[in-house]
Amino acid sequence: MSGFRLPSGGQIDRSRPMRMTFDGQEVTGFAGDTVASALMASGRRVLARSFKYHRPRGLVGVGVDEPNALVEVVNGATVDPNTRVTTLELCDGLVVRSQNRWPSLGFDLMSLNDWVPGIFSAGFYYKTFMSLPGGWMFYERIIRRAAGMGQAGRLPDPARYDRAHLYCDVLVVGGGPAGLTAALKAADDGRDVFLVEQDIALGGQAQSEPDAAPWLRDVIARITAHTGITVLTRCTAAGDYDDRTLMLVERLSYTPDKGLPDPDAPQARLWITRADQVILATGAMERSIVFAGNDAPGVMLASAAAGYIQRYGVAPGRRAVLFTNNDSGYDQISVLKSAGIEIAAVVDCRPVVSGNCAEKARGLWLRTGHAVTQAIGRHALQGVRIGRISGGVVQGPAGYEACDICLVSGGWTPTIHLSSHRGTRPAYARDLQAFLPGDMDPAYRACGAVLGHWRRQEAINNALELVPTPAKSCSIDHMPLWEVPAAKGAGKAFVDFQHDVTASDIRLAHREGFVSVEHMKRYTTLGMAGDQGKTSNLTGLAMMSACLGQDLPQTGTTTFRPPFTPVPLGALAGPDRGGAHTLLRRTPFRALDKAAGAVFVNLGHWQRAWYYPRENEDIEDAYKREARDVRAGVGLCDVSTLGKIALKGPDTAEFLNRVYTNGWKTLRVGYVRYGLMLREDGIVMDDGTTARLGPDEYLMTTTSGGAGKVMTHLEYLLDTQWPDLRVHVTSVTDQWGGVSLAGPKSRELLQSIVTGSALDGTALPHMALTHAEIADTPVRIYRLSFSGELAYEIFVPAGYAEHVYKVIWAAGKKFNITRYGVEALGTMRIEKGHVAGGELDGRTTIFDLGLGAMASSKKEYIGSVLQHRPGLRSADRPTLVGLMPVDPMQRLTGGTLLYSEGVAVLGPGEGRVTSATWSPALNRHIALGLLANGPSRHGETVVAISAVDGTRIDVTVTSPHFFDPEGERQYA
Amino acid sequence: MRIRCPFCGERGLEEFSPKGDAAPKRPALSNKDPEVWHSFVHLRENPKGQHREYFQHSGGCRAWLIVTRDTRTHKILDVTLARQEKR
Repeated sequence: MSGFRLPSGGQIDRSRPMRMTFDGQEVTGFAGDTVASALMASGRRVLARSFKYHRPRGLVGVGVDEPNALVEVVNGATVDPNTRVTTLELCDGLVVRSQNRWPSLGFDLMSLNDWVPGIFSAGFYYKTFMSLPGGWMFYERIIRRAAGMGQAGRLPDPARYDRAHLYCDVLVVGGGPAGLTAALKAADDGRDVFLVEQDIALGGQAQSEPDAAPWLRDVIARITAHTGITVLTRCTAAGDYDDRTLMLVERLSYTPDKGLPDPDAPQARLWITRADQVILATGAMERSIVFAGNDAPGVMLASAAAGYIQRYGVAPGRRAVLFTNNDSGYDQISVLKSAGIEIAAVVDCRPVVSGNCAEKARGLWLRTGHAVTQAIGRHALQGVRIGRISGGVVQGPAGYEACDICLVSGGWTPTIHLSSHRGTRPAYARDLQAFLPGDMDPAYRACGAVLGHWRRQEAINNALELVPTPAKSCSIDHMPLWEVPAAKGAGKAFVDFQHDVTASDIRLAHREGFVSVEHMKRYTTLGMAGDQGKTSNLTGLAMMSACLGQDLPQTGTTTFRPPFTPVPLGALAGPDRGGAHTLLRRTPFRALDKAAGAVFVNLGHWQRAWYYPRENEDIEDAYKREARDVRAGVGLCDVSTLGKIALKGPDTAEFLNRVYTNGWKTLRVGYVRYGLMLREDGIVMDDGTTARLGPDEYLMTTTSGGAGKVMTHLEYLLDTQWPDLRVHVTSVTDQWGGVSLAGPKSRELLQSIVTGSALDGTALPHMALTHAEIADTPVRIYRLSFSGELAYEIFVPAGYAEHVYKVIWAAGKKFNITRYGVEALGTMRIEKGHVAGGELDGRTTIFDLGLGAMASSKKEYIGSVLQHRPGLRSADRPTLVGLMPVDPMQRLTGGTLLYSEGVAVLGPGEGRVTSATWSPALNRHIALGLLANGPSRHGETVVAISAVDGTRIDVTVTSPHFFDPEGERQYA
Repeated sequence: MRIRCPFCGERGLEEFSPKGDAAPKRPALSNKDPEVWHSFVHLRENPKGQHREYFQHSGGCRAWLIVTRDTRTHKILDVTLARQEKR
């Protein structure tokens, strides 16, 4: 005995059959079916194994509240675990797999967990395994395998996800009677309305009510025709954030029309919405009643059974026992009868029911003052025991009634999740035995069943109110009954199906002293993770309150957090992945460098030419040749990535004086100066040069990586700290292309192409600049050197940069010009002992870098006081040194730690290697490093030890200026 | 969170960069007392309730703003240009 397809009825399209497989077996259904309804129609009862005990489980609900029937959706190599079959639409070719079972759903060896007394009760893992040898970390791996959910795929998700932003006047969440009414009303008032509904179709609970059909048809027609309303179905409002920002997730694949995901089309779309007003018409979910064996496949919610019949034309079984504590359970009788389901008994815990209910149950065996005390059947429900109940206590022995479905109605719980995402505490309504949305932001309104207006007409009327108010009394007669106490030996009674939390787990938590509901929740795992307590939260709270002998609101409520239903991580990432994860900046010379065979490297946001291999060259060969050729002749290097900031205004010199450590008031027009900036706390922030272009006009360069930071720093100072300074700053990094032309032949080469300016040592000395033309293009030429060679930096408006580069290159042929990349650039700066990224690591002071002479004592500047804190000035701080391996062929690596010879290798050492390279000029390996008392230790031998692989290398401490220390070459 | 930039109007939080407490007053550059600078650079209140903080509209007009925010609710009570702050 099991579910079957009815000959007619439902919102399915019987002319469009669809096929899927479930654990390899073919299942057929129709367009409009969910996987749940198709599996039910196929007669399957066991769809999953439970979390800890591996008990066979079937369907409990018809929608998002389904706690049991979670599956893996397999699409090629990718697997989406923990997907609810009740919200997964049937489509052709769908492959679905049950999860958390071994070897199969029908015979699961792990179900032994269910027979061992006491195993996996609340806190079991921790209590048992923490004290065993090997510790929790060891056992956890085994336990996690035995207890769990589906397996996440291990491959990158190939699906595409879309992101969209939405602005509207009114966002209505929920397409049931209240939401439909509220949307129409707002749109009729001339407002721009978005209506979102997670379900396939509009109507909410009304879809399961036979008498609602004409009204529903009419209202949907009006909404569809209304130009002011946009409807998004299959779209879940998953989270509510500050300032009316909601996250919606719209499913775009796995529909009967679209079928399986198309790799070229987005699988889901994440909407970030901002609405002036948000209307929460999120409805209510039916709750169950806890009794022994209540997880047997066949025990389900009464409203869910009606939903399967009305929406999908599927009957969940043939012979039903209806178990209720309220009037709404009787509403389903006519639906069950219409499907030909035999109703064996109507069991109501209330001693007396209204005439209306009695009328609905006429001709049936109505057993008032009774309760279902136990469900019998493991893989499928066989029958239920029914006993008299009074004052929540079962009186006397129970009778037995055979049935294959037991339909439970325990009352209704408003779906208040969204209303509490931002921390609003729900308000308890005693008469409704439910929590309602608490005091929300005035831009939020709730209406309908979420405010306790259970009946359709009530919800509609409520939605039409100017300011919808919560229900003052319960419109559905009911008697609170959370749990039917189980007789000894009757078996487990489940509160939270998804996490296998039983009634006795909650009592155990209470006996062990968990009095706070937040602690109880974590100890038992009630209502956690994917389910977010949709079916279990209130029941668990009520049972905890009973243990504590206090009112439910005194016990508290738990906090609902986003997302309402699980959201794929890929949908959150959206298009921001792979190459689009962060921006990529390219210089104006990219095309030329590519044509020249450059190998590129990403440094920060910039893609830079790393080296230019010639045939058969690897990086080692290439950068060594490039550096050698520059020092022997002339080379060209792209320096466009340097940050460039234009400063203008009469107070610019004063401003520079405050942000740089050295003096700026004496810099003459036409000259460039090197400068260091400190952070407010006295640590070095960045270095670079600034040129004085005119009386009030300067151009600053920063390191390539520090440009954004420095720009923000300058803007911060001018806007917030010194708004009285008349200085304007503008980033012009992208406006200028720049090349460095370095080497003894650079001047001769430049002189052959430059017009409008003399370039000899008198006209353009070291650290001077000039304005000139190259091939009719205006350029700025700075004479400065990073490589230590006679060198020029030539800046060209970006649009002309390629043109000028080509002219330089063509003229350079005669001089045997070479291109050099950042690897050779780095090598030459290490040979010169210039500090860069490895040394400017946010931990070093100006004194650590041996640049104390740049710390002016004649003026104050940012960081000038705090850089002298005692800890930053102590003599044993690691200070810049040169390092030469005793064996010149031994390679040093950045990050290696330095120790004195003969001392124990303990702790962080006395310093570290910061930048290392092979030096073509010295024909040996060299490095820069920071070493305690460094300057006084030149000539000493220390040991460099890699903490990664233990390598030990003896190194001699030297001056950091390895090559041409007097600077004769650059001053040439 | 949405911030109403005085130049650009209401924009999403992702366009802004926070810098923290706007209360500390910069000592005069001539002040040589390290305690005064330590306090300015490192010591911050962590108020529950109204808090004035610097934000830069870094993804927009790049103006520095002073945003008054309730730290309990994230409600933004006021946004002004830092340049117009009376010192």
